[in-house]
Amino acid sequence: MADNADHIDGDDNEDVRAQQNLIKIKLKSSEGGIYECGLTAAKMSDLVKNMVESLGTDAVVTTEPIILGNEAVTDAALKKIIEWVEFHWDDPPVDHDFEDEKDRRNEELSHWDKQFIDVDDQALLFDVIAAANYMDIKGLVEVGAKHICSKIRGKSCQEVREMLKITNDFTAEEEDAIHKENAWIYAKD
Amino acid sequence: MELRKMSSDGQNPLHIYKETLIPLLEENGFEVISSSEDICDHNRYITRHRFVRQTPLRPDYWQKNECPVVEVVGIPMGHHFLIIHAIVCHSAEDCVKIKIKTKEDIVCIRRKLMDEFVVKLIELLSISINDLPLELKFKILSLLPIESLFKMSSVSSLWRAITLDDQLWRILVRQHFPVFYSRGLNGEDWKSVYKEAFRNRKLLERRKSWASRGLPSSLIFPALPPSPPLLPIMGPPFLPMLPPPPPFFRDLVPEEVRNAFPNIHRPNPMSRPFMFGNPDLI
Repeated sequence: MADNADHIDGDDNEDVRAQQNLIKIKLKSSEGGIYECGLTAAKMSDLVKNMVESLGTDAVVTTEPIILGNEAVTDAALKKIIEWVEFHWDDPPVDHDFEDEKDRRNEELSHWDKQFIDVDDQALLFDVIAAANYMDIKGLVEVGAKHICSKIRGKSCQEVREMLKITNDFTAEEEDAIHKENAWIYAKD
Repeated sequence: MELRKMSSDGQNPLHIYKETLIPLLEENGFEVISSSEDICDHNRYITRHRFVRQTPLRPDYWQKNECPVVEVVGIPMGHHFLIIHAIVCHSAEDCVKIKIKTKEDIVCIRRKLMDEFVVKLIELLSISINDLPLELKFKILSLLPIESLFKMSSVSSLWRAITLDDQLWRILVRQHFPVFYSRGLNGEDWKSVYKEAFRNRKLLERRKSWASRGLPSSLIFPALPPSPPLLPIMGPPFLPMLPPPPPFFRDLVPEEVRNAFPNIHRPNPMSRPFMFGNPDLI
């Protein structure tokens, strides 16, 4: 255990990462549920990573679970998040360089991610996204945002409202005015 | 009581409320915290129950650190209808209402209660896309094609306000038109920058498509505005070609310098160049 702790700081060596992922740490949801997660996987969350680095692995592993106090981190959301990080922990690190960002934006989600994020319960979906945002897991936030986008794309206003359960609070006149204001996007010159 | 006796025609409204609705709510995570006796309100029987539901919840409830109390009221209208109201306490706008025809088959009634009442009530209490933090809303909008973004701007006033936020347009300009982004703001807002960049791109695309058919764009678009900046200016404006270098170095020295030091660069008629075998020295 102490041996692992020596490697804790930013060692990207694959073997070390794999070995560290055998260490299980406990994460506690805002509802009180405690779930185990591999250390390397859990560290995909910048929040957990900072926590582990400031507490030291030994403390984290052997004693109390890390408490994720934000209410978006429900039991169900945390289970989903752990499922995601446990699948993705050995992904190559993402370069957040701007040049790549355009490509990343247009990149389709992998088949696994699509299946993972396509949940029937919308509240769970938004909890997962909000929780991933709180835990600072950029990759998962991206997956969630892209999934919502793929659902919005190509739909009419009314279809979007129905899908996302948004109440239309505009009068017909107001809606017309907005359409006119936005007309430049369809203009021919 | 009296109503129960008169329920020969279809379901008894109170029976529907108690035997169908309440169990349905309980199956879906609602817990009864109180119920009041049927109250005789002139000739109507009203029954009310208070519920709480633990999870999942909307963020505004997290902040208050409380569970919303939902009051469900069943009002039989004669023997043929049952009206059910659910009001989320302390929030008058949050209510769900349904009218049930008691004549219908109990299976249909149950399905209707589930789809049009319980599900809506759960949605009312649950986190929705509106509750995501602003940065996530920006993130979602910035990943959308611009046409879909405009659709989002007219779904509701909340989303309209978000799509008018210039911070979003800044992100959009940065992602869609990095060259324009690097020029920065010039007294305008980012939305105007986006508009300009968007128009330019469209114009360029059309010119390209005409050019690919071998047609000079000037023939096709004789009435184009005189000179919209087709390409953003990156550095100083392009300088005209310099004239070829002058033959004499002195010509490069500015006039004033030459006048101040008249003897520096002009051949001085009084001094002769050093020559091996200077005739004066001989």
